[in-house]
Amino acid sequence: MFKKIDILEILPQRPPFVMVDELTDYSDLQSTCCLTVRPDNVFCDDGELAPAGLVEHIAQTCAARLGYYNRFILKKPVRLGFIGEVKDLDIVRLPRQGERIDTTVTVVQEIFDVTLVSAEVRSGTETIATTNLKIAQGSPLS
Amino acid sequence: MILQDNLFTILSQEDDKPAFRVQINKAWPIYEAHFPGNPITPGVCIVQMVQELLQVLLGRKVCLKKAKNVKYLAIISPLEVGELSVVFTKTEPQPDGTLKVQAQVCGDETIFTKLSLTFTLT
Repeated sequence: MFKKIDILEILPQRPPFVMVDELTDYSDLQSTCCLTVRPDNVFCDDGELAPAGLVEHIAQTCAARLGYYNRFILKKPVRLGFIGEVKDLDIVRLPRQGERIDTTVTVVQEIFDVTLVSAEVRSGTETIATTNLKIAQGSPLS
Repeated sequence: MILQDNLFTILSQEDDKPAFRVQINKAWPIYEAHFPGNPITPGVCIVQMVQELLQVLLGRKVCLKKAKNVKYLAIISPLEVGELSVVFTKTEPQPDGTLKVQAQVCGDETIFTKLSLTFTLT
């Protein structure tokens, strides 16, 4: 069912603004992406991934899920995506340089082009951040 | 990544209330990546801009800990938006040492973003 793909095939963002390394799991209502925080990451400050980078990583985990669906299931182009709302974000701690994080987004509700997800960011078995996000899809990439 | 003097420049800080006028830099290189041919200010960078302006206001470093909510009511395209007002409507120290902040990012007739955030002082 799920095949491994180049992340740039399913994301509308381009380097240096790519905050996920790989889509590691995909199903209808749940997806997981990983990221290793490298020193050259634009959001890596003082040896940590800044809060903005962490939230962007969560948003791009949603983008990868939507991109995989559009590209490989609907066989259509990847679409632009925007954060509509961040709700109940709680950062327990920031990921450190060199650390790998795995983020799972679970769909709570999907109405037309708007998806509500709950997200959990883990380092190993430790939960380091949680949030709810509302993602809106825009026009297809040309 | 520091956004001040990259994504935005402070034009003025108001005397009578905690508010800033900022200019958006169309030539910011990240606009070519988000998204190619379709520059949109990343929502997470609006949060970081608010954090950086809060640091200017307080004269000390802060770090985002929680967001009760951040509502993006309209997209900020650098092709259409040149200047923004960032207004802090509430900054409230909490008993646990954190700081609760409410802010709005506005144009002349539009509210782009409403934020309700909690920061730790570092």
